Amino acid sequence: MVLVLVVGDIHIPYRASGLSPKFKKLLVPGKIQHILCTGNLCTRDSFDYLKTLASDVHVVRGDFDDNASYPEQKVVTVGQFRIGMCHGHQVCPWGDTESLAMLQRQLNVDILLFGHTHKFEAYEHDNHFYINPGSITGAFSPISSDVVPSFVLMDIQASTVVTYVYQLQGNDVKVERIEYQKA
Amino acid sequence: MAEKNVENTEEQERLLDEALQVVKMESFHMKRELDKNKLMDGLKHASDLLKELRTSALTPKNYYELYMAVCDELRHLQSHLSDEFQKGRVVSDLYELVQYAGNIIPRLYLLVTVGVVYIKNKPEAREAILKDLVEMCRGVQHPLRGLFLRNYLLQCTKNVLPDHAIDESEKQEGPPALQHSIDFILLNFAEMNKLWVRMQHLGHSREREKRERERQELRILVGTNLVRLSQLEGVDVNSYRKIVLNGVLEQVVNCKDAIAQEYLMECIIQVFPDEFHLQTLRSFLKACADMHPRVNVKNTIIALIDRLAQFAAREEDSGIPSEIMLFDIFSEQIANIIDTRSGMLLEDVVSLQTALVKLAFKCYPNRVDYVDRVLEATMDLFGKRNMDSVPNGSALSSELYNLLEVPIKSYNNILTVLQLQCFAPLYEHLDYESRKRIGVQMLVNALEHHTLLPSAEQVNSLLMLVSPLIQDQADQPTDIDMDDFSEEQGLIGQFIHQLYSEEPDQQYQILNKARTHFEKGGNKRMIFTLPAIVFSAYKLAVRYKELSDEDERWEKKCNRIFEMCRAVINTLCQAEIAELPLRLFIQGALCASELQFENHESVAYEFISQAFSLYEEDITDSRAQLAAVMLLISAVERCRCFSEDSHAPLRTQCAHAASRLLKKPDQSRAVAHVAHLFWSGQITEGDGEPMHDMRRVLECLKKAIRIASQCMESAVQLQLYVEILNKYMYFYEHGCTGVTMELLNQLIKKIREELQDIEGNEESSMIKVHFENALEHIRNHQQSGDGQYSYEGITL
Amino acid sequence: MAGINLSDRKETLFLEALGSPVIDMNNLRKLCSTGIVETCGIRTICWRLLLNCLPKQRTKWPEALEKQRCEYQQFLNEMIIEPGLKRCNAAPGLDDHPLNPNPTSEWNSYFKDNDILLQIDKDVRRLCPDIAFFQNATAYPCEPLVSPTSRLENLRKRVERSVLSSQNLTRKRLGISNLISSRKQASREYDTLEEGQEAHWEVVERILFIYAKLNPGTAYVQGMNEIIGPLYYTLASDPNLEWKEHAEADTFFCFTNLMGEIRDNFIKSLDKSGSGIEASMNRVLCLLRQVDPEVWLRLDSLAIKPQFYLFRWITLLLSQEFSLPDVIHIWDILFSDSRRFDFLIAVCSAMIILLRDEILTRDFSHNMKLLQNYPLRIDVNTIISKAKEIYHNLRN
Repeated sequence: MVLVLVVGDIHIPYRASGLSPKFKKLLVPGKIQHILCTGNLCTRDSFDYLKTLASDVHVVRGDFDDNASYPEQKVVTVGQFRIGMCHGHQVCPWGDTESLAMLQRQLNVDILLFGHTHKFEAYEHDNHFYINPGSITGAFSPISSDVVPSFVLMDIQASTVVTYVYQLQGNDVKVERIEYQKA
Repeated sequence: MAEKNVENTEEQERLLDEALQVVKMESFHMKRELDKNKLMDGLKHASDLLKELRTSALTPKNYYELYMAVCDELRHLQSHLSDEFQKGRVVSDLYELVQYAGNIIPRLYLLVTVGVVYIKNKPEAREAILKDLVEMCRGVQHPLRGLFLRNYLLQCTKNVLPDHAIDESEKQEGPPALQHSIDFILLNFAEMNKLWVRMQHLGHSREREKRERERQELRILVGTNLVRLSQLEGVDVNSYRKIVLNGVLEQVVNCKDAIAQEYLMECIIQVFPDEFHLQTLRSFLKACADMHPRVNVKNTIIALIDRLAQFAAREEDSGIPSEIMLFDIFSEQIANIIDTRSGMLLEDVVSLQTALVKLAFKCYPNRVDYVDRVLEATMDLFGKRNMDSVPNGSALSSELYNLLEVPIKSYNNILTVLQLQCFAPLYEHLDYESRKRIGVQMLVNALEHHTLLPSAEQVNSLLMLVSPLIQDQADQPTDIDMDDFSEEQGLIGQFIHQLYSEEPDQQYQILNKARTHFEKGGNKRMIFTLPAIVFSAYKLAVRYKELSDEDERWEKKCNRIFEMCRAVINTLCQAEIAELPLRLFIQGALCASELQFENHESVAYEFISQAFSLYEEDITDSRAQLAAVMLLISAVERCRCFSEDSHAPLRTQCAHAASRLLKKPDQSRAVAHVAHLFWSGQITEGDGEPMHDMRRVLECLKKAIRIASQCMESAVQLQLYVEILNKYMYFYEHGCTGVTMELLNQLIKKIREELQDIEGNEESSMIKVHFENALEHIRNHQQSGDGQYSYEGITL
Repeated sequence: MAGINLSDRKETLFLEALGSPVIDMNNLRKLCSTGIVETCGIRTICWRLLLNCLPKQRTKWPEALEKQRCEYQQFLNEMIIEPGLKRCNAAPGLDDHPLNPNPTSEWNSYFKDNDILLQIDKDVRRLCPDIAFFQNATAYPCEPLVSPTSRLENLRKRVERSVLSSQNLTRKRLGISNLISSRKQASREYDTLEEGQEAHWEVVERILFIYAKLNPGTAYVQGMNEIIGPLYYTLASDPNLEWKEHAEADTFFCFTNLMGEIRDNFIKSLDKSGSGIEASMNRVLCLLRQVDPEVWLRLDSLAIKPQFYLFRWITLLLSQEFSLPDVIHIWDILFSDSRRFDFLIAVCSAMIILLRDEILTRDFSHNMKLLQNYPLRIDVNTIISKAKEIYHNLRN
């Protein structure tokens, strides 16, 4: 099983001062093998922090990222899965399922990771899987009210992906589990 | 024996060896004679072996080795004599007999040895013998030999000095017995100290360093007297205070020797219990004031403070007795010392203040006023010495930094640090680098401990304290390390989110205050700091909306907030950047659109217009232009607050901007993007329903195709066609009836034809796959049958 | 008249010895001490017997083997398969997740195990690098772990650190978007086999992992891989497929039994004890001193301490000093020694003695190099003969 961390919309320092200590305690180096970031880090510091958790970090560019060399979209292959990454501000309307499906078709991926709305989502659509890890810092978004800090950990086993979503509700970390089978 | 000390190590080794050989030999004979009970002969040999200690040729270290060897042998003699006494075989007047030994060194060592045996067996003679011995030792005035001799005396008498004030078995002795012991040791101590000090002045001045080194090697001999005093169980706090300490201090102060004073004061601190020190602080500290100018009393006092602070930390309950105003005493005495010793370096003075502050924390953690007192005193001292600004990199700078760091790290709450009145003024004395470091420390501390600053005054005070990070300073160096700079600014950006009050009105004041500070920061800094202010402001507006039931003026307040944001973002534009402000404007428009306060439509309109202006005037890079246009289109699509009068011009702007992009492919994509605006965008007249302007949607997509066909490269054309095909499919599935099957078939046919002609490579295979996926999607819809959009009539 | 070929004769003796319903262990030991024949899979049976993995009565063999192999399968289930399934198929309502810091969490044990596994993995990947055997695919892979549909993974994947192969969507100047593969491909140090296969070294990795989990006192120490290497190689090269099929399980038990005897060498705290490595090294030197005092003295005066060479010779049962076939040959005789490992002591002494000419004349650095890289020119049979010659000195 390959453990892949999916995070995004960190927005340090423009919209948040740091990760919740409860999340930091869980994110221990050595457990996670790869990190996929949906964008809006926004600075080098956040990137360096992710590198301490795993050495293989992939980032796509968000609308507030200061580094112009991050690509707009990226596809990584993990085992049997092709996973597409895009921040999501490029898609219109923002967060629209069918518009995202267009991107899925273009990139030809099994799973599409996206962000921008700061709301966690994980659903199947047309036999493909879509995941938005939300904002790990619970950063402000004008289009989403009551943002809950969250991130996602994927456990990729052969043709199954088990998605664990970690959310900070009040003072506690709640963990949920979702399974997706490749068609 | 040669008078001159021979330094050569080989020579020393040889001499030591020779001496040790003699000792061995004589000792052998001595033992033999003693075994045969020939006491006098035995003593003769003892005397001979003791003669080796008469040497002046050995260095202190080597003399010590010789001394140890001799002591071993004398122990043997002593135990033999003890045995003889036990058995009753007393040689009378032995005590007098040994005084006939030839030279004074052997004589006195034997005297001590025999004397102690006598005392053990005739306790009534103790007092007399002890007095005798300690006086007789005066006969040896040579420092090295005298010190070791007196050390021998001290070691031998270890177990025979009366200890308890009232000795049960010798009731007739009474209280004075302890006094005698104290006197004995004090006298021995005084004499040894004198000898030790005398060493300083023997010999040529150019050998001073060597002499001082040798003195250091021997210091433990003198210190042992103090250890002995501390081992007297009968000495309690009172006798310590009244007799012991005075006696010791008198000697220490009067000897006027820096090495002795420094060592002995430290010795006193280490050797006697903390409870004693607590009761004798004034005397001790007064003595510190009277030390030789070369003595750095700072170290002594700091050692004492540290010890007492640790004591307080250890003893949770019994701790410092409340009647001892520890802080006051130290504070007063230290001030006195600084006054008296005008030669004291300012950095040492500060170092003392730091120790005092640490004491305040350890022993009186709640007394913020104590800390302030120390800072105030320091400030006064700076004033007295006319020290305005401390030079960079100096010891004084480092000490002052340490002092100011203590409250930050001890309270772990910068709000408390802000309460210290004298913190800021003292801080102003520091050099640039140190001020910056203190600033960083404060920010890091606040972030680590999640300290919030809930009032505008506190925010103002703190921002003044971290001003080296926020604004250019008069004394800052010209070259800056960019990595450090970004890191620091990032820290500030993060910190801005700690400026938070539960009261929204207060929060507004805070943001306004903070903004005035940051706007003076210059272009390089504003990029890091102002965005955070803007977002905090947007968050505040949301809070007002949430509390709209309780505050009837919330809408006006929202307006003011957005007005402030507009001004701040415009200030940011002065830093000659455009992309970031554009995005900030867009975020503001979206925010206003959602909040729907009075006048929100004009605010949102204004923000979007400003964004457009920035786009038109300041964004020149084609990639940046495309990104900006797409963002603007999506933002307008998302805004629900515009009436047709406002929405129409915005739509037009979007469409124009899209079609005026430089590169054809970009144009095609942007124009296709605009289609969404016409489809799912909303105007207020629509009551929440999307516009669904079918005609305009189709126009956009047709135009996009037209532009695509103008692209020269066929692969590009193809890719765009496939993308637009997908868009057609999207709108068809959302009910856009204008997307007919003929339209789709046509496009599919066109794509198929072009695909056949195209060169087979990585690019084209991606396009192929994309196309296949689209067709697969259509096929699925056809096969599933249910739903309205069944793509009936599409030929695949 | 052409006589019966010597080796044929020997083979017959072995087959006779192994054929009797109750094996005469003394006789077998004597036979083995002359070297076991290469044919008919005789060696693997002899080793199993000598290492107490098979009982003396032939009739009891099926039962004993069945029991052992079942036990191994059980270990496999308990330690690898079931925990893996628990992690995959977490039942709904179950609280466990990969980042769970709770010590009772299945995931927590997983990561702790990975620490041990990492060390094992590093060592077994380069087991016996001179031969291709360990990199080849085994004919009997562990189905639940290698099957492409399985949700479990092979042990090596748990600790492999790789970079994902990725493609960036770049927009070229002309406007076309293209997925360009990044230059950093997932690093592959070793050629991996096809789906559904696993290499022999992965089997060894599994055995060592299970051993480490079962013996938390010693866990895994570097060097254990060198001991298990020749064992597994021999059992997995068995010409008899019925035996070969169970090489994994049987190696586990042979290894466990063997480790039981030499385990003390791997425990640092027992170094100075009577059973520890220092005692063994001293025995070699004592024997040497007895038999060839000149050489002993020379080594002593040059200060060539036993830790420099004897330590590895003894701890790893000479597996690093000779080629694999020679090691196996020596082990035939070592295992046949009823007073294990007295013969090892004799062999070590013999090895030194046979280098006497060089040791006596050359200097410290030459001799050190010599002892640490035992020269190929000395034939292993010569060493064995010499060892036997001086062996009786040990008994006295």
